[in-house]
Amino acid sequence: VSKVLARLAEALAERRTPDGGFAAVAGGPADSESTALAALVERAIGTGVARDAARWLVERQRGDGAWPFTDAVPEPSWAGAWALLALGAAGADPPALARGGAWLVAREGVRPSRLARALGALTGQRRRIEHDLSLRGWPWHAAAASWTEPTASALLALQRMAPSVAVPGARERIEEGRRLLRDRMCPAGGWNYGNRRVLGEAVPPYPDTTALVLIALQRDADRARLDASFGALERLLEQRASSLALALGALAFELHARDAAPLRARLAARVDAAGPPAETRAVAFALLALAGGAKLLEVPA
Amino acid sequence: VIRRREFLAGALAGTAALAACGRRQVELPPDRRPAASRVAVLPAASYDADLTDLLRRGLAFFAPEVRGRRVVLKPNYVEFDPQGAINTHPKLVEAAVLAFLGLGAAEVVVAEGAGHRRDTEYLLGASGLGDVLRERRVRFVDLNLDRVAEVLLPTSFTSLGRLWLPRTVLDADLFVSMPKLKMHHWAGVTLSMKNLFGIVPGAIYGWPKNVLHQAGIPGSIVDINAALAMPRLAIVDGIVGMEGNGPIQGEARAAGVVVIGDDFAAVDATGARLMGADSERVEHLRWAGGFLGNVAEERIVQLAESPARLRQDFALPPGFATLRA
Repeated sequence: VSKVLARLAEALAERRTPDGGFAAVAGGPADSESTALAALVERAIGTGVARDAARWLVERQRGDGAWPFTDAVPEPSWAGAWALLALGAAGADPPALARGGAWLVAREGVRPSRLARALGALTGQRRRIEHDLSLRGWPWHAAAASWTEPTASALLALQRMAPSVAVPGARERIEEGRRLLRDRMCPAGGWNYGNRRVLGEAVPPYPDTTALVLIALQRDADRARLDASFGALERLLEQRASSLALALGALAFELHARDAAPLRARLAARVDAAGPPAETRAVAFALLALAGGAKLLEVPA
Repeated sequence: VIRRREFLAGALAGTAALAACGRRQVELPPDRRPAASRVAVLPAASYDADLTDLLRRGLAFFAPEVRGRRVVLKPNYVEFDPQGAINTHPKLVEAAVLAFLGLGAAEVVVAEGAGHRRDTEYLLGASGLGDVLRERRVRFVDLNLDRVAEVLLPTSFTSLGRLWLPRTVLDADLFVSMPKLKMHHWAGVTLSMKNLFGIVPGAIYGWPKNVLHQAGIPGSIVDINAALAMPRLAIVDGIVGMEGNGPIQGEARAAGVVVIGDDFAAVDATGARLMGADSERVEHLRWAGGFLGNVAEERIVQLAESPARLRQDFALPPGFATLRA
């Protein structure tokens, strides 16, 4: 494992940009998600590879509390949830965290009006959509609806912040976000990008997304849903597993007090055989999974 | 009044696309249509055929200037289903790589920004495209994570106004859209024009690229296509297409055809005809046919085979019964 960790750390270092941030792929511009994940890795391992990552994030927080995706794309990004997680773990300035938390609480996906929902119900369209359009989750973009992954990451960030940083409205958003994720669960467990059915046909879950949602739902009391989704995750990982899916799967297992050792072993073997993954996100989650980083994603009771 | 399909498209997002509802009154942009467009329809019985030779013959009609230049192939890997026919077949992508290298291209890059899955390692591995890229030493660019530039949209079939788009596409010497021949449950058909949703970067707009659904799918298709200025070509994989509830959950349909052309609207109109659909009733094609490219049958010169001879009536997507030609 130490050899694999070294290779992954080396791969992460290759994605570092001259300004101290990290790019999503080698040669790209630094972005908030990759830099936040690198900052979490730094917190977990402390190799110095990403010693400037937290500073990079602090310097780029916008006045409204949000983070841009990159310097070139200044609009508020979904990646702000990961920046909050990373800066929270790094012990950043509480007012900056509170500002970021307030932005996240205010951010919500586009929802249809009551009139539109009523019209949809009248014309029979609602029956073909199935999930609850009234629930507020988090979008990828300000002009989009709520989807699974940004809702999971925002939920995780707000839950991690809750004990130490007071953010008005966070509790309600956390509860509603959980309801949205439960509502979007695929019929046989697990999650995909956010549609459990399209025009009456079930849409299958993805392993990486399922694992991320399970990480966000650590404190969920609905054991039946969680068990069904762990079952789905295990089946998906048996079929075909990427480094990203194995890493997130191992973290989900560990955070739910399940045996993560077999998934960690598979992840290490995969990286050893095929080399580090191309995407920084997968590299970072692999490092977190293999080097005890799960605690940085743990939601306090 | 909410138009039915736009409501559903918004609902795909988990919301109703009220902003996109009702017909936008748009001023028709300057007419860019050539007097006539040429589209080659080439029979191909299976993926085991000599597809490189087939593409060489098809490309010869268009003589693309690629010597010493960089060609960007954009296949459709929006999602993967081992039982499905969602993707441009890796063997056709491989054949295109070889055909363009054979024409003297300095580099052929395969680029895609998957619409549903973020996990590109999974997509490339499961679909078999990764093996082709490795074997042929072809660079893959994940358009979801590429460097971007802001592009002002010259048309306003949506209220988007501008989009961040990937440099790999914008800087291509030749951009090749390589869609699958499919029906689409929100857009009617998905071909070389709709395939461009895959160039919109997920890192900014998400997975799925729901901003485009919210803005209106037909309008987004036209606005994106009208914004691109680089030389382009389309190669449609219709060897096995998808009928019914496409683009993900439809049924595979062997159509035995590859379609090539340099006017995306004309290529897609031909693709629609091959599937037994009336291209003039596909909203984005009707709009594009007004200024961007040729959709009217009399303005398309069909090369190689006649689409009428190879036409197969694909099952229409739910709610699109009026598409049948």
